Amino acid sequence: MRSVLFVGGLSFAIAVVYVVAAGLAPTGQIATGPFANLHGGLPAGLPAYVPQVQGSPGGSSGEGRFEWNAQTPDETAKVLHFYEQNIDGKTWTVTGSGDKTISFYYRAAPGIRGGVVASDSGRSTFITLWMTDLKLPAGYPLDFPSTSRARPMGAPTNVAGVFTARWDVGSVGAPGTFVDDFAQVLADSGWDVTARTTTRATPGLQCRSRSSPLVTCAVTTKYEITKPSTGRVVYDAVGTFVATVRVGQGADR
Amino acid sequence: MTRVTDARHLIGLSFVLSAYWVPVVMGIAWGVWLGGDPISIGQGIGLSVSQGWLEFPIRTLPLAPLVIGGAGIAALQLLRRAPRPRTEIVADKLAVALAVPYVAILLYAAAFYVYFIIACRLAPRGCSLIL
Repeated sequence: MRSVLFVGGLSFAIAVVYVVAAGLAPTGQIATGPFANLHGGLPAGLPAYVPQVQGSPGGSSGEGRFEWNAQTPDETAKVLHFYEQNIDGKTWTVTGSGDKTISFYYRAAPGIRGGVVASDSGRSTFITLWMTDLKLPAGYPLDFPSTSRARPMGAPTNVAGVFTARWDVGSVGAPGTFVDDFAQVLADSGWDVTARTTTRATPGLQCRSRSSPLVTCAVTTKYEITKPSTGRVVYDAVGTFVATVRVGQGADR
Repeated sequence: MTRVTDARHLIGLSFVLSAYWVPVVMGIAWGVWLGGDPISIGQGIGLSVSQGWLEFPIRTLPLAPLVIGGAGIAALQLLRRAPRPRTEIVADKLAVALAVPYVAILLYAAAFYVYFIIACRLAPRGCSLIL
């Protein structure tokens, strides 16, 4: 018995030390609020849409983010109407709703932004329900939305009322697609897109709030190498598209 | 007082077993991170163990010297004719038995990597494996 305990204890201890030293365990804060204890389900106050096409992808979560996907034979408008009626207003505040998207934030922590995207794929509608802790500071416009692709990079700055945030928008897919998608979200959330460029090396857009026309935004994207390749046979460089998002009075100047 | 050499067979078996604990420990860490309740931890372990096997050799590569070393010494001890306590023989046999599939998985991954490098060298324009 002592031998079994010895072997079990020592081997487990070696594995613990190795997992910690090799960084194989999550390093961020322990999930709290809407990200915790989901058990494969959705966060409180965000219902799943039914009926779904068999084999819909389901949910996944990472550090400070959650995403749930499903496919339904119903039309886009019906899906969005369902969510407009059924998102729990005690937990979430819906800030915008339009032709393809709904945006909301978590009432207890407004830095957590989320949304519903309903994409018509011909015979069915693909639903993405997501939320991300963007780590936004106090005073950041509550009605300024985000997209499911955005991950915060560092803390946003506030210079004379203009907030500047950097978002990692992923290494897969053209940045122009991100700009197009974000333009749709903005239009659905009460922001007029006043300029948009999707073809150059640094796609971007500008926008203006419909409710407060002095408040504007400017979004630019570019590809950044975060870890250069070591130059061997395996090309192991790591890079991502980064969106710089400015919002506030005169942010588009 | 027990000397380290007296527990050699147990330490060797621990080295081999430690690699197999890695997916479990990772699952516990993810379960704690996902909220820490028993259901989250159970799901974390389940996901890590089922997915971890696909990346098992890469995830545990730094532990390979421990596994191979522990199993190698155990194999040498098994080849000796000198009479030994039954516990030592069982521990050494277990160490070898657990190390064999691990080494086989490692060799399979190494063979794939070597094949890829040779194929790239022979390709007219070269090639890259993007991770």
